[in-house]
Amino acid sequence: MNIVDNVPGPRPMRTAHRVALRREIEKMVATTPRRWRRSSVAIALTLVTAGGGVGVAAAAYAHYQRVSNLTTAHCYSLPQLGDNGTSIAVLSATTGSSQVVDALGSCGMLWRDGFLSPGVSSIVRVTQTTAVHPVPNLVVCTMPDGTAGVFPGTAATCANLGLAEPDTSTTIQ
Amino acid sequence: MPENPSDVELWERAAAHDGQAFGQLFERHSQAVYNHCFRRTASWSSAEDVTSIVWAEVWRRRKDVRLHGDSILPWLLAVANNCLRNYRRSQRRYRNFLIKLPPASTIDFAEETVSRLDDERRMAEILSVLADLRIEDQEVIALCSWAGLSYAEASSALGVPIGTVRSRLSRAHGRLRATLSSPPDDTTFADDPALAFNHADKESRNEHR
Repeated sequence: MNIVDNVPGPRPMRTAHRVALRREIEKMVATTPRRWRRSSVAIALTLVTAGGGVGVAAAAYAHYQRVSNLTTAHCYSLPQLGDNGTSIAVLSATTGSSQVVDALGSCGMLWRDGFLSPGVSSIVRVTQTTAVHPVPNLVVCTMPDGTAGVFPGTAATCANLGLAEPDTSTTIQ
Repeated sequence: MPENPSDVELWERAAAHDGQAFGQLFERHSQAVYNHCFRRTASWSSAEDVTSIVWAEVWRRRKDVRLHGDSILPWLLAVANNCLRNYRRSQRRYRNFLIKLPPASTIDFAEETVSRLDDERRMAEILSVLADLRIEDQEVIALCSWAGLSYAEASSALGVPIGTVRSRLSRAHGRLRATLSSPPDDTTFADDPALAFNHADKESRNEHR
């Protein structure tokens, strides 16, 4: 018999390693942020000035509220509301409401592409579209009109702004 | 959901960030990848390391994944070949991932240790014989003769035409015969029962694809 055909028979991987590896790769797949193809995502950036766009009434505040309006989402560059000069990027739903079901991912893409920048209260003119910019921790709040607002901040940001958090039955992420 | 979903179905779900579907693909093919990696390294612990890197690399390069028919195995072995060639670089890239896994010294197959060491010795001998061959010829032996891929699957894994797979395999076996000074140069596949079996098996599988 040729030596090449005399290879050792197959053996199983160590159980501890196999189990740990499966656990890690499943976690990796489930937690990897989804990539967005720029060409397929229609995004209209709109600068909303003081008093425009989304009005927020403290009276509408509830701790949890369903995101009921999926036609638009609002991406803020500061943990502040629009009536004090924060820039807002409004996502167009021209390619379907699914574009704003993942509001967090869509707004994260604007951060990565440099349209939103930490502490800058206006939309940044992007000249280098291939550059990847840092993305801060983002949180989703339910705006009084039922749309999603995505802010840089922490778990307390929605409450600090007098906004509700999306309730658990909502489909928005 | 089908009881025994195909690789295509599982991959589609995994690509949509379904971790469990990726886990099912792992259960289905990890042993084949692991043993392929062993046969290329002659080290069970390196094989574990590379197998881990392969799955992380498959996910990183998920947009490039190509299934051959209904099987993802040729692609997995293609990624394994790349990882084996760039083992050091891959180790650096996935250092943070690898440290989450049990180290190789945590042996839970103590009773098998002796036979595993014997495997490593035998495999090292075989690889030392193969070392005289070109790397692409070694790879085609590993894929066709050891991992059991058909010519078409190996062609997909290596990204070369089927004819190239055939000629590489033929050249590799020819050189091995010369190196080992075993059968004479005009030996055909049919003269060597082991090779004849492998060859006929692959031909038969190719005809059905």
